[in-house]
Amino acid sequence: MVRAWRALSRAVRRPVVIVTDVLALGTGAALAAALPQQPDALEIDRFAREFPALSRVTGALGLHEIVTSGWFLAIALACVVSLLAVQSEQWPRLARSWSDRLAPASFARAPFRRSGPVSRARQQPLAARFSSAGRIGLLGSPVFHLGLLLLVLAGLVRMLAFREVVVRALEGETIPAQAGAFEAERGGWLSRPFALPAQVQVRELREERYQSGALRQVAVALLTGERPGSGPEVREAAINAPLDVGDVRIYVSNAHGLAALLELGGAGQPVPLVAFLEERGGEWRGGLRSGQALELRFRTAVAPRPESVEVRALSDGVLLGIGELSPGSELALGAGRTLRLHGLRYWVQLRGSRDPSKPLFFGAVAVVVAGVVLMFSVVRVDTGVFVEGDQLVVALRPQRFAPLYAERFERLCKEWWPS
Amino acid sequence: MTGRYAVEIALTWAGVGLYLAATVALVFSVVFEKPGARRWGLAFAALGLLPHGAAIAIRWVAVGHGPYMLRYEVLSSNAWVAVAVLFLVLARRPGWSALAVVVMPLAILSVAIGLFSNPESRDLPPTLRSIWLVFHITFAKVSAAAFLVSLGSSVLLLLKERRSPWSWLERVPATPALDALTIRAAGFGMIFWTVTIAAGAIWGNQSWGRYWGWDPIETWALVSWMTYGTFLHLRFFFKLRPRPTAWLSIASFVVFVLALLVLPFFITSLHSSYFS
Ligand code: HEM
Repeated sequence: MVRAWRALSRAVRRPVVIVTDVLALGTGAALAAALPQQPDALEIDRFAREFPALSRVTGALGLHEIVTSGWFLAIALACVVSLLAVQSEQWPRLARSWSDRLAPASFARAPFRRSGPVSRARQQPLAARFSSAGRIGLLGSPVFHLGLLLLVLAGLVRMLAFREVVVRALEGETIPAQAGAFEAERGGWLSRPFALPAQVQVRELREERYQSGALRQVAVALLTGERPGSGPEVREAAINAPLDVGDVRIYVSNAHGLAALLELGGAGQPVPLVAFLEERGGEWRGGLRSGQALELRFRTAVAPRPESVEVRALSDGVLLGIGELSPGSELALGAGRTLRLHGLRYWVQLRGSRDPSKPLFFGAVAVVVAGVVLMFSVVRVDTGVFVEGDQLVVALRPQRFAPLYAERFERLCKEWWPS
Repeated sequence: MTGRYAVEIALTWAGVGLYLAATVALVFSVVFEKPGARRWGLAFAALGLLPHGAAIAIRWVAVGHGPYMLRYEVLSSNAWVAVAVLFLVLARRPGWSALAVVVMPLAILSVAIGLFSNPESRDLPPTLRSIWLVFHITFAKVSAAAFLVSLGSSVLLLLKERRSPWSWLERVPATPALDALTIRAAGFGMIFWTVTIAAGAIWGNQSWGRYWGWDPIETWALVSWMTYGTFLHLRFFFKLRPRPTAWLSIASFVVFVLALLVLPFFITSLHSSYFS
């Protein structure tokens, strides 16, 4: 077992393998960035219309679902194996070089080394002087690559355990504390269905706008609680200010608008209808089809809490009626049919997320950042001043970027030889 | 054209004028070996940063957000950061003045392209109102400047290695030093670009509830990060010689510019709302 791992480790640590791993991962990512990806079916359709021949090839090769494809995951796995092998070698090597003791022999092949008669030196070193600065820089590469491993691990945990939901909620609506209460739900293979720990009621939506009329903020007052031990409580969530409810987090997205609550009356039972209006060209606009023939179009100016909405009713493209409806009023559609507006309320798209990989991901990011900072901003530089025979030797050994240390070496030499 | 915009443009042009003067002086100092001209070059660059910085600040105050919404704002502020970084490098390392030959014209070109694009200000959409956006954007600009310095030293290295008849190239730092600077600057770029992507992930989590969503621009940023990673690996493992190293640095920069400055203007993505 140990021997097998050693052999594998040697193989996957080969520079060609590592470079191929990283290049393959980068190429996969580039394809995922360049081609429309699932679940964006609209973009994939558009691509197929614009480039029919190409799309047949990309479709056949499964290039519209790259990051969850077997080959991409295989590349990621190859990277992990290489990283594990590299790490198993990097840390012991670090321990060795961390504790090495400097001696004249350490500077035998130093990039900067000058010797001259001891007698001409400004001062006589009583004993050899060795110093080492920036040793911490040695940690850079092992820490960085450890962070990469943790990132992949976080990605794996996410793939298995994340759960995300989306719901379009109206003011006044209550989202129950049970699984399946959402419109769209997706999650990892091992994740359990998403459920709020307690029911949440959308109390009120507040919009803030700039003077220009552009949207500045959307905040939602949510009534949460009614769990054993905690009474109901109104709390606010807003864009970029999510709300924690138990172990889940609720996010407000900027998809929001006005909802017209209607009732279509006629011969039979009245039919309740809801039209969702979105902001377009400075107005709330939206449409709705009821049955085969009836088409309803709505519009009203974007203003705080509009009190009425213009409704156009059409049947097979023929206008049946136009009216400005406020809550309680009706529009006659002919043949005894009426459209009654019950109320206008805001709607908002809320997202819920439960993702146990988040702490691991952010920890990994911190490790990666620390690693890359150490790798490139701290360079270990060893200095030695010692006597060999009747010669004083001054030497400087930067671990990397040696040509950039020429000036520093000259300054060091000047300290010992004035001219 | 509003009065404020006219002032902004005038200040930006004043900055561009001083940058041009700085470029001429720095090139003169290298070509004719005049250290005095180098000091003038640095002074012009520093003076140019003032009106140009004032133009960016005036707009910042007037529109209520930093320079990250429009091509005009993005390109102009990127150039400001690039000139500031070059100034800091040259103030510390007088021997590197030749970097200005590459960095300054590109910075001036960037402001010019910005000046010819639509300057009409737009309000910051709510998802962009986050402190993480500020980190994200600031570090992106600094990484662009660091990668630009890496590009500058690669170009000088290739010119120097061409055995060209230009004698001024003899006064450019030696090939090993240019080679080391190419890698060091790319390394600094990697630091800032890593922080940029990390801040973007934190902000994405705050806005959308997920730290990574394979959005095209997000993914292009990752691709450019991996491109620099591949470049540094190749150099490290295969002990690449200076010329191939310089070519790889240039190729990585092209991928980076595509990811940061070109594709966001064309691709439909979550980032589209602030690149127009
Ligand atoms: C398959 C995954 C990877 C493996 C196995 C790997 C392995 C290595 C190894 C063995 C080194 C040499 C360091 C030493 O000996 O101390 C190295 C250096 C480095 N790696 Fe990776 N690496 C991987 C992925 C990445 C990625 C994704 C990046 C960034 C995008 C990256 C960036 C770097 C950098 C910047 C260096 C330092 C180069 C230098 O010192 O100039 N690595 N890597």
